Amino acid sequence: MKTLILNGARTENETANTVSDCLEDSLNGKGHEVDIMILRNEKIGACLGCFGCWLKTPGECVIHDAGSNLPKKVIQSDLVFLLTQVTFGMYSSELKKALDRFPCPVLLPFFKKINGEIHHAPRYDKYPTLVAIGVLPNSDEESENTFTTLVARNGINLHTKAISTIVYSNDTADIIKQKVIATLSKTGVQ
Amino acid sequence: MQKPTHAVLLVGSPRGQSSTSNSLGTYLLEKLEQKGVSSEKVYLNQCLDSEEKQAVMLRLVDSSDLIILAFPLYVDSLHSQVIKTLELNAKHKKGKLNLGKKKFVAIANSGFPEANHSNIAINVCRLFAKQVGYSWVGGLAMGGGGMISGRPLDELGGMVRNQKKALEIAAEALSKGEAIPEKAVALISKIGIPKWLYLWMGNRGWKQEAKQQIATKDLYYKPFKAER
Repeated sequence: MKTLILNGARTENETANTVSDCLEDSLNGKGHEVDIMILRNEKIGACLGCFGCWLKTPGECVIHDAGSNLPKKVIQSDLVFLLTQVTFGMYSSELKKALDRFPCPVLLPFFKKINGEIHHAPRYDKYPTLVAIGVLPNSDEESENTFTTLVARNGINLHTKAISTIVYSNDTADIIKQKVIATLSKTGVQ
Repeated sequence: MQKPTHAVLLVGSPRGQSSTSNSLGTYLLEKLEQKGVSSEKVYLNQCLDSEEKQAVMLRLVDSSDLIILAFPLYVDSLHSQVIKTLELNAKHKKGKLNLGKKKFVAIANSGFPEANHSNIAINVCRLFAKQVGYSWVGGLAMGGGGMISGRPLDELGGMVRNQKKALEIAAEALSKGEAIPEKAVALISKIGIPKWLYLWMGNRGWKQEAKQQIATKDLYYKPFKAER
């Protein structure tokens, strides 16, 4: 199985690093092929909102940089992990610059009704499970609820299962490991 | 409530001047100016690529007592450039006092016909205001952004009557230092054409636009095979 980890921590972050290391160890131990992108080290431009990935080169982004490969990496993965500081209940700008670059190419421009609500129709038959792990300095119910809802909505719009987990900066390495294992079990990874 | 004297509009669309965010925000600014609130405008897609430009944007926010963020919905939340702007503002304001005098407003738009897709994004803006210490005076969210497509609202006739009325109600309240009334929030969410017609026009529009550049069937192209 293939797993993509998008590490969107804005700066070197001990908690995010611990989560990433735990994920890598666990997944490698299960025989996964793991691809980790530390996004702050990658040259990824912001989505231009040009719709070129729908109208000029369907399914592929027209910007040529480290973000160009994201649609391919995503669609060829079984699991995609989004690792981020929870920022006003949302993803960090580092993670979001990558996240903005792949949903349009992997979806169609056309509308489709799902559970009474309009979404973009899928381009592909199958999408990877999306797992978002958010780092917060401490417990913050409003931010956590917003983050959880956001990830669930991403799952609906990307036609896939979406799972979210929160870790705190003061969580010990053992607690983080337990949370990572619990999260992996929710994905169905054996 | 303290009346604002100067507003800044932060246009959060990567399409900048030709965006629906600009159309909506500009209409609100015009109505505020008619009520004596002066204003300036910043296109976020043009002000983040150097520290100097970021500093100019932050100074404009510093010198305004009404901050209006207009943005398109991007993957259920805000575009990365808008998040970057919020992060920069939060860092810039850290530890500063009396920020509650500054009022913060958000206007979201999306291409989906339902406005509720933007609920999370509006909530994110409210959390930002709370965490920074600004006074949150409300968020407006509209679906059906394809009806506007970056054109001035005054050129679009009755199709955007609800959006114009909602922004006029919002301007009236904001100019008095009050929060945006619920009536404006409800009104802006109502698109001016039947939902089925909007969907039909949207789906047809993509095919027509595609015809100018590629074969229609290629719209469905799958460049990457799942290796699973």
